[in-house]
Amino acid sequence: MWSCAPDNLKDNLMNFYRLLLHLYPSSFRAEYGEEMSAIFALELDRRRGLPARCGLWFSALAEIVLNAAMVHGEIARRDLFYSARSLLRSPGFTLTAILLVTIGIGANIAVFTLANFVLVRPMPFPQPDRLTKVWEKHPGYSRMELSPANYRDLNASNNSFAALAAYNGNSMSLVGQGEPQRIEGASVTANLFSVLESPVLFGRYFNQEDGRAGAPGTVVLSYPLWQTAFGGDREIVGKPVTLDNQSYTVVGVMPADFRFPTRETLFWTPFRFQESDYQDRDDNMLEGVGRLKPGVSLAQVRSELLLIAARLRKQYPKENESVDLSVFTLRDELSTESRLLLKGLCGAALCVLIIVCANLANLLLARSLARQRELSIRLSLGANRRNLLRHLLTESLLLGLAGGASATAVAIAALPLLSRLVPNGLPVQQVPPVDIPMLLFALGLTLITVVAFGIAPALQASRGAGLSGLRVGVRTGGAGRHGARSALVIAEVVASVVLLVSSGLLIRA
Amino acid sequence: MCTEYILDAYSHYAYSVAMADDLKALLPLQPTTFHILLSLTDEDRHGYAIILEVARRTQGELKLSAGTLYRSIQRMLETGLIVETISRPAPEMDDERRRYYRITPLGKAAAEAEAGRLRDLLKMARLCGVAPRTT
Repeated sequence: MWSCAPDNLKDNLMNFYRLLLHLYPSSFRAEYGEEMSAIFALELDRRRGLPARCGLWFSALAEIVLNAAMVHGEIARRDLFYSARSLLRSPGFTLTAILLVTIGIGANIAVFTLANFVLVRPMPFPQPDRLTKVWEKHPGYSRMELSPANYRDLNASNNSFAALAAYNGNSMSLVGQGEPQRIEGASVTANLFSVLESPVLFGRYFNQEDGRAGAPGTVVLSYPLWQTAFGGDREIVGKPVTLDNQSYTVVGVMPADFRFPTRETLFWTPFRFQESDYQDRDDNMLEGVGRLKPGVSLAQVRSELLLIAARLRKQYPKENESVDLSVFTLRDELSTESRLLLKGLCGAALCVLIIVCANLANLLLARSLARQRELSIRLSLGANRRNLLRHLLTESLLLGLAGGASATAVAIAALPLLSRLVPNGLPVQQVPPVDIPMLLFALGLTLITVVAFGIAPALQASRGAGLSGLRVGVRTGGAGRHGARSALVIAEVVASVVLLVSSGLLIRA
Repeated sequence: MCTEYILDAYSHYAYSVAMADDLKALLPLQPTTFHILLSLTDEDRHGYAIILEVARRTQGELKLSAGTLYRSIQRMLETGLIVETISRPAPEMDDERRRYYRITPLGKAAAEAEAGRLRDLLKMARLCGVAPRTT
């Protein structure tokens, strides 16, 4: 039990102090721990009373934490220096190891960044998890566009969507701005931008008046089109542009990072539906996009859409016979092939990493065999095994960090080449950005790789070094080391077979 | 005799050159290092005695903590500024847990060089009028 009696208090504070000394490296503690404790005991004796003694203990706590960190830092600095020197003495080995790490980690950074960008990362809209695509479901077709009539009925009768909009892609000829050019755009309902909740760069969104039948033509420009065809003219709003020989007035420009429905879309014009457009329920031309009300789940909206579809079937038994409605999150719109391809690539990249790790571990094992005499001499001169292990691990860490840095550079350079795998229909930029999560992933992967290829050889080398290593002609480290190398070769072969098979399947797919 | 003299002179010269190079790398000394060296100029001391001596010399302005002291001592031992001595006081005055440290010729030269550096700095400060002309 803790007590405030003077002697007990001193004992307790001393025990705490000795415990704190464990923050220092063991070698430092072994060398100076006793003396430091003795000095602390003397200082305690000089102070009388609980506040003075506790004050001393707290100041000791602060200085031990600080000094222990500095001692660790000095040791790490020294280890790094010696390791760098040792690696520079074997440039062939060092370059080979760094090249291997670059290949293994670079492939993984590039592929996983791409997969994260396409499969995981939220869409670039506010609250993207509430954005959904709405489809008609016909026998044999799970995703069919909505007819204007069904869209209007669905819009009027649902309670799940905060807003429901529709669009379809169209291309038009832009004339009067240099060479005539065919550009991709989209016809959209006037409320599309407010469903996506994307702010306009300047100007305004479409309003209900723009979508009225017979209203004058209006257009919202994308940032790239505004820059390339109109030279970034800030006065563009209100000016006319000619699309397919019809005049449209520019009402707004969207920001540079806005892409919808595809990244090729360069302009948006509003639908100006007339009553005749609502006559044909088989005219499936609209893609529906809806923002769910807060708190409404996908299951809830699905069951409501089933009810609405049933009612529409009853109301229009001939046109809507066997027509159902379905809804998916915007993220789920990605095709199965795209998903499969990216997942397959991730698997292949992981196999490459396993092969690289096995190769590196083999390289390090071979190097440790060649250095057995050096390690044995260091042991016989007083170095302890722990220091030796730390030194070998620092070498692996240095190799890993150098390789990780070059791998990151290679991955950044490779991403534009891999961007062809980003589906066109995804409303995101083409090349995944280099950002903090990507760099953190690179660092984490590097550290995992270092552990994977560095620990086993370092343990083997520090165990194998000893007096026997000093004998001239000693070549191998015994059965244990052979076992480790055999295991590495087996792992390498297994990963290679998996890589070959999955590559074959990917090519076939 | 002559050869011995030449060899002795040469080794003294080589030692001086090596020490001068060492000194260049060591300067400027950290204040803690400088104070520890000063505290060891007159006699060998153990850790706690160094703390007390530094506090006495600085009139209590610098109170080294045990952590700072032994971190500095470790570094000074590695750089050869001090050594651990085997000579100890009489058993009745001794505590076997204590280690005694002695300043080395390199340590003394480093302290002198640091003092010279500080003197030059002070001279410069006086010329610029940011330090009083007399102490």
